This record gives sequence, C-alpha cells and structure tokens, in this order.
Amino acid sequence: MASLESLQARSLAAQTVSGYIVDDKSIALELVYTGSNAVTSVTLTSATDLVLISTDTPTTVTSTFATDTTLGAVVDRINASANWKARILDGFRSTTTASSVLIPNSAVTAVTIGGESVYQIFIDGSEADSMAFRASYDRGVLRDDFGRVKTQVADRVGLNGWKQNAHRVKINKIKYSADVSGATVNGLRIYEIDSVTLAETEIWCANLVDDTVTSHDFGDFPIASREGNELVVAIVDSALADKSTNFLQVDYTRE
Amino acid sequence: MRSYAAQVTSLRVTDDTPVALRIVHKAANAVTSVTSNAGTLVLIDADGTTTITYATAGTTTIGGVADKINGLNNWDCKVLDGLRSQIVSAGSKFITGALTANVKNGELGYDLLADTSGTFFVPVRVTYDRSVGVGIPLAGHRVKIVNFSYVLDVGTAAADKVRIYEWDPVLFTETQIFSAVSIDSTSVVTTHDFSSAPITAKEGNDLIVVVTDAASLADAATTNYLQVVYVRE
Repeated sequence: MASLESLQARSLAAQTVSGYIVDDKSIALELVYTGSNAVTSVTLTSATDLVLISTDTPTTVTSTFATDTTLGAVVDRINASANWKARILDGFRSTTTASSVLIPNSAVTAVTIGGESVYQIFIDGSEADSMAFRASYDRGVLRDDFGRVKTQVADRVGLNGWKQNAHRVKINKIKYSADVSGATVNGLRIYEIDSVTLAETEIWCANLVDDTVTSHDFGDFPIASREGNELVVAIVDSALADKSTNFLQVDYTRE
Repeated sequence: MRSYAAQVTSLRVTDDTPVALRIVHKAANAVTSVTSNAGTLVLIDADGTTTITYATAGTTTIGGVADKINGLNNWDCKVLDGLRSQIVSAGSKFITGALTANVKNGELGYDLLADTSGTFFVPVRVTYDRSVGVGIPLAGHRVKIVNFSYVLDVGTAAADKVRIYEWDPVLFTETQIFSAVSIDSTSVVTTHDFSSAPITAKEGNDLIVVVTDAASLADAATTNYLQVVYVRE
C-alpha cells in the first residue's frame, strides 16, 4: 500500500481541471509520428479509411474501416506499425468506425499540444449519436500535459519519479446541454477504463435532459477511478442532433 | 491515511448482470470448463469433475453453494451480489451456459450471474474488495453508501422491497438495516441519497443493496438498473 507521505504528496499536488467539448469535438484518436523522417500526409476518408504516409519504409499505414470496424482495431493497427503511435481519447475501443462517424473527411493537419505534434480525428456527434470526454491524468500520446515523456508501462518510474500507476482522476461535476431525443434512461454515463485489461466498464448513469443545461454535482463524494485508470463521461442517445449550444463539460481532479 | 486513500466509486448492475458468485481456480492444473446448468454447477479441471446440485441438502442456498466450493481443494469463491440465504433449489436462479474466465482487479475468475427476472431480486454488494483470492485484509477497511438509484420494472410497488443488509464475515450474519418502498418504473429514476450522512458498515463488513418483488421483476434491457455510489476506504 502507498505510504502516508506519498498519499499526502499526491493530494497536495492534485490539480482540478475542466474539460469542455462542443459539437463534433470529441477526440476519437490522437496520432503522433515517431519516425526519424518526415510525414507526407494523414488523410481520413470518413466512410472508408485512415491513411498515414511518411518518407519511411514502409511509407504507408492504412486502416480500412471495413476491416478495422472499431476504434480499438484502428489504434491497434497504428500502434503495431513502426513509425506511428495512437491513443483513444474521447471514445471507446468499441466505438464503431462505420457510417462516417469519424471526421474530418479530409487531410488532417497536425497541431501542437503539450509540446507534442499530434493529428486529431474527431467523432461526428450526430452520426454517432454520442459525445464524450475522457478524464485522464494526462491527455497526451507520448508526452503528458506538462510536456514530459511518459511511459505506458505500469509501475515504470519516469524521469521525474512519475508513476502512471499511482495516479487517478476524480469527477467533481458534469454539466451539459444536448439536443437529444428526450429523457433517455441511461443516456448520461460514466465508464471506468482499466489501463491494464483495457476493459471499459459502465459504473454510473443518469437520465438525459433534452436541450437544457443540466448539472450533476458529486460534491463531497467525487467519483474516483482506481489508480492508473481513467473515467470517460458520455452522452449516448438514439438521436443526438447538431446544435451550436450542445456541450459537455467535466470538472475533474487529477492527482 | 485511510481518508487519503479512500475511493468514491459507483457500481451498476442491469438485467442478469449481478455476480452472485465469483469463482476462482486455485490449483496449478488447467481448467477444462465451468458450466452453469438449470439445476447444477459443474466445475471441471485436470483433476476431475465436481457437480454441485442445487436440490441437494446443503447446497440449496447461495451460501451453501459457496461453502461447497470453498471446501474443494482446487476452487474458491466469494458471494458477491446476492445473499447467502437466497434459495437456489427451485426456479431459475442463475444464468445458464458455459462461464468464460475474465480478469478483474488482477484476478482470473468466473462470474456466476444471477437471473434477475427469475429471482425477482436485484442486488449489489458494496465491499472493499470484490476479489476472491487477492486477500486484502478486511480489518481497517470499511464501506459507506453515499446514494443508490434505480429504474426497475417491478411487479408491484410495495413496502420493504428496497433493502440494505449488513454482512458480518466474523459472525456470518446478514442483517437488514434499511427498508423502503419500491417504485415501479421503466423511465423515472428513484434515488435514495445519504450524502449528508452515508450509511457506514462496521470495519470489515459489507453492505448489500437489494430491490426485490414478491411476484415479478421483468427484464427491460434498455432501462432496468440498480446503481450504488459508495466510498471504499
């Protein structure tokens, strides 16, 4: 068991942050190029495939959605390649790649986040009838939110003594407005993602409220993950419509 | 220190997902199969076959079945989402079929699931440790229920059909400590909130939240659930 001092240190170092997602901005995947040459292009054809081209050998990594029918399969294919790494963020391994759920339907331009150049693939909320946000200790692929290189191996001690396994997240409050079909039972959900087994287990739910700013405040009892795990908050409905006022906000503590 | 390490978490069950018994294989040889049938539980490994018949005296309750398994050399189990006193000798009590091994909290095991429409009983066990063999010492740990919510298609709303029991593993007693009227619905959430004064078990004890009915609890795959938010510390 952790020492009292380490738990106290973790508590003192805890940071309360907020994640805010609007229409079509749930990040399905983040990709990084890990080779020593150059990226030629990253192109998403929503109904068909994701093609990664670089000047390495082999030059091309293609994930065809007819074969890789879930985000988990897409990520596994990318992570098995020599020069690319990917991570699922605001989605699930079971999220389907069918029916043009993934966007943009075009070339994808890199952005720099936390010192890391990443390519972001988003989820079309009205196609997936879902929007989600992942509360994670950090949202980087190879670097954490402070720009430090991280490892994905449990119990590995990083450059600054950082151990992934010792961290957890706690959801303090959820706030949203979404144009959904109605008061859907089990429409607002929290999943716990096991970083070792990759199991995605629904642990909490509430009925949706249609097109009205609604909050769930966990007050003195924020929902906490086990050490090393992450929590994903998701709105799931039969008919989530695009609307400029749609949003999902998750206030959480990472420690 | 316990408060620093405390975790507030939530456990949610739906139709036929409560884990009545968590079974682990503790021998070095290989497991052939674990199969739940209408009247029996069959455990087969390289050393042989054990068939537990629910109609046989001594194994007519969940507690009796658990004690039988724990008396075997090669197998162990734990009663999770259920009560030791629940009768299993008649009717459909468990989901039938071959049980597939899974890993939970680092432990490989098998989940014998409760048939919620067959038992008219939807339970959730609030415990510090849902493992069988990991062996976290119970002393010094406890659980506290912050709130629980449900949407369940019960037969008839009635008094004393929503309950909390406290399980004492030393005295081997299951004592009812809370009671409420059940609400029948397929859409409206019923919540019991204890956040200002969480219901707290004695150190080492578990709490079991139950929604039950005298005559029926229909399956409703998209709406039925019982969810408990609790502190484990």
